[in-house]
Amino acid sequence: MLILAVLLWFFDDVPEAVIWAVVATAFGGATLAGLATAGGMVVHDVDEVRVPLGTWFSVGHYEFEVALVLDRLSVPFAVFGTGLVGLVGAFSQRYLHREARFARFFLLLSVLGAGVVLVVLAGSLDLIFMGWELVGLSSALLVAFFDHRPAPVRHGLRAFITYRLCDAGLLSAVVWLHHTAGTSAFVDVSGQWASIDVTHVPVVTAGLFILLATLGKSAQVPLGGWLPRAMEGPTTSSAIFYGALSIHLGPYLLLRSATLLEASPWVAGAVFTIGLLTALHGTVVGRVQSDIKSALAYASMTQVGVIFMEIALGLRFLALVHVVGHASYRSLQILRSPSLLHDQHNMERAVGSALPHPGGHLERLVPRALQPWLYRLALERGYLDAVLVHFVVAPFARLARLLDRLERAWLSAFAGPPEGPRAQAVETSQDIEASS
Amino acid sequence: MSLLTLAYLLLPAVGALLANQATDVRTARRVGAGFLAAATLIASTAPVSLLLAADDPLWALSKVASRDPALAWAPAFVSLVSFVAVAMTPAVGTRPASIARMMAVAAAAGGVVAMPHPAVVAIAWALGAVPVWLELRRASERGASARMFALYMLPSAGLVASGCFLLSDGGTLTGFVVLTVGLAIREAVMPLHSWLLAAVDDAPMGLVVAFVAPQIGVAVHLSQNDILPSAGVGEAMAIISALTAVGAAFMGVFQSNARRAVAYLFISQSGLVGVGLETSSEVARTGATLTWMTVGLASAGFAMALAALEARRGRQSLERPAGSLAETPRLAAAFLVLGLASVGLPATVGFVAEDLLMQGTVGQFPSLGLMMVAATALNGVTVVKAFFALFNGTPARNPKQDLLGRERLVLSLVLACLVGLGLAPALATRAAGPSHAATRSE
Repeated sequence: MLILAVLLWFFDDVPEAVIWAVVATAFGGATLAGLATAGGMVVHDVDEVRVPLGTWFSVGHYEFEVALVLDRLSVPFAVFGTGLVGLVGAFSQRYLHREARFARFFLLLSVLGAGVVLVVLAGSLDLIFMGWELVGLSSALLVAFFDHRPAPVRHGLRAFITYRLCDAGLLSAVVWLHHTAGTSAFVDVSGQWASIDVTHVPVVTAGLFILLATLGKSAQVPLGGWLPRAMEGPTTSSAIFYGALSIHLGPYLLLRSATLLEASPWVAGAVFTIGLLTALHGTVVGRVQSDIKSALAYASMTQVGVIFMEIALGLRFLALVHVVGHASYRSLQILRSPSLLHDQHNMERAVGSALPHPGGHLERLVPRALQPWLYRLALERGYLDAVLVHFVVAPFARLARLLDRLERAWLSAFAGPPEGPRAQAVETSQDIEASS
Repeated sequence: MSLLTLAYLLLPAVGALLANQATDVRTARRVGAGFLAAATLIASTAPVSLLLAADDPLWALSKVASRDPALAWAPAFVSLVSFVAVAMTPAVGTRPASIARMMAVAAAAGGVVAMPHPAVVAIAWALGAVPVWLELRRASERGASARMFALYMLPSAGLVASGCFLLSDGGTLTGFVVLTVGLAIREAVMPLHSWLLAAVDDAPMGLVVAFVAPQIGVAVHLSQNDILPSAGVGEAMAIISALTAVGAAFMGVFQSNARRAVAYLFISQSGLVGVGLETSSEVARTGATLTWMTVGLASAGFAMALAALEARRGRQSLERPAGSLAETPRLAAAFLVLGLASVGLPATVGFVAEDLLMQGTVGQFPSLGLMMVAATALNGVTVVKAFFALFNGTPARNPKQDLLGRERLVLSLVLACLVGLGLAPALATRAAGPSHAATRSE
């Protein structure tokens, strides 16, 4: 990431081949290293390897330790993540060939890759926060990739605002854990993989902070409205962000913080409820979408909602398998989405007739009288966005505008009388004199 | 006064006189940037001198630096920020006199941080505001911003002078409070911030940056570190600072004027620094000091990147995207990275500063720590919103030029400082870390 950034800062027109070589080397190497680590752990029957990299900075008693945790949770995620970044990079190298923004795409893809690797290998919540921020920033910038069109830029900003406000939850959790337990490092307490030691932690507060953090990245109800809009970015980035890696960081964080859910039925209940509501919302709203990327976005949202429910119920390995399976399938679907009609025709030719409309069995379960109402509800995306805009954002905007008007009125109170033509002429002649 | 201190103080002052005599703005800028670069190099000997000899034979900073080692870095920091302001000032719409006024502000700020004697602080504090007032008097419509500036800066000068006098007379709580209110006005603590909005509306951005970004009030505050206010006073000041941080961050998000958004960012971040300074924890105070310098440098680069954009496209609104990333990719990248570095972008020293500030504050003031998290989140939104509005949109008919060689050099220097210290922050944390004697006992 840094090498690419420095290259692009100092040199004009860096060739596509050089950019791709840097990205391929970084993520190809990372994938191979991950595979070698996984192989070594299996061969030697090791469940967890800790890699302390030292203290990044310290003041007094406070130290920011940089340590990586390689275990049954992080290694599959890391290998899958870096491998997918490499594959999507290889795909994008052709897909975006001669695109004016080629370099920017690969720089942001590298930022995503670096962020994901940091999140999944982090040995503490502090380090996760760093990666979390990088993923959010690269995601928002890629949503606004086609910067000459207003809609992607608007949607990129919306995605970033959602991320940033939810990231406040993660930062609060980090600060809170340090305040109460003195550390946010993961330790081996759950018996499955390293997690948060909850002995001295007010679990409900910390758990709710972490849940807030996951709502943004994983597009859960009621903050998931940004996800279908985020599909305005390049298809390849949509695939890797919203089909595979970024959207599953929420479940990853919940899996890593599993001890909080175990210790507090309230937090687990909140995660389950959010997951259930999201799954219902996603499946209902997704059925009325008329473009493939929006439909896939809601399908992703539905599956991640189900994964939330699995995690809340303690089905962690099922959730892990579900994440990897869903991420692989969904990213392939999104990558193929520009060829949807072509694929559909191919399949129809192969079958010899029109393909059946999927999902009809669920629609038949809804009473006929309710169907128009439900259809309208789905078209309006459950009114969630409207409620957020009218009842949350609008009052704050009105307050800010009022304060701004008061500020300007206060300034105008200092204005003197309008200057006469003579005074203006003198001022102008002085200016001309000074500039000459 | 040592020879080095004298040279440090005289260089910007002489530079101001020469810049004022220059026939064109480019010459004035060259002279100003050269003199400030020399002042920065000279000032960088201060921490080395203190490291080598505790009694500081070259600089008169040993007394204050024993309270807070960061003060040894303050002269270099102030002249570096002023250098960024002068060197990045566009020639379009700027007069040589404006460059001279930036130099004069830098000279006064240098006086406050390099000669922490009460009389010098009081005089330099007052003199530093005069060039800005002169510029506003000329530029403001019907004199509104100049009058408002005077209304705020006169009491600030009076209160700082009184506070310095009272403190030098024995260190009373009254003196501390009077001094702090005087400092708070210039640090634009809410609700005493309106002058800054007026100043960014009318003054050249370089002058605003030279006046605001060094936040010399922090240096004065740190140099009075041995005055212990009662716990109630410290807590009240921390609460006001936290409210300023959140309030300004909130207002920044909804601004449609790019300059005002930058001003609110300045105000919010000075609030964050204020919270850390009023906290007794060593971690928070180190974080506050590091935030002071990081935010000062990053904000200076960020605001001057906006000034460079304005020189190409005129005053900017944030109502809708109206720029083009394709035309000015490096200017856009610098604007974004500097803005985000000031609000804690990972891999920059801003992240380190933010982390220390919050970790240290939450122990003593948990609710204020959470308010700081909210302020930082909102400030990030302001930066990215401004980036999207300023650098996205349809390319203009006449393509605008990306960073010039001079601008690229200056911004590369700023970015190198922020990223370099972010990747290897030991030097920064050691420099910003208060000595144990200075840390208020908990």
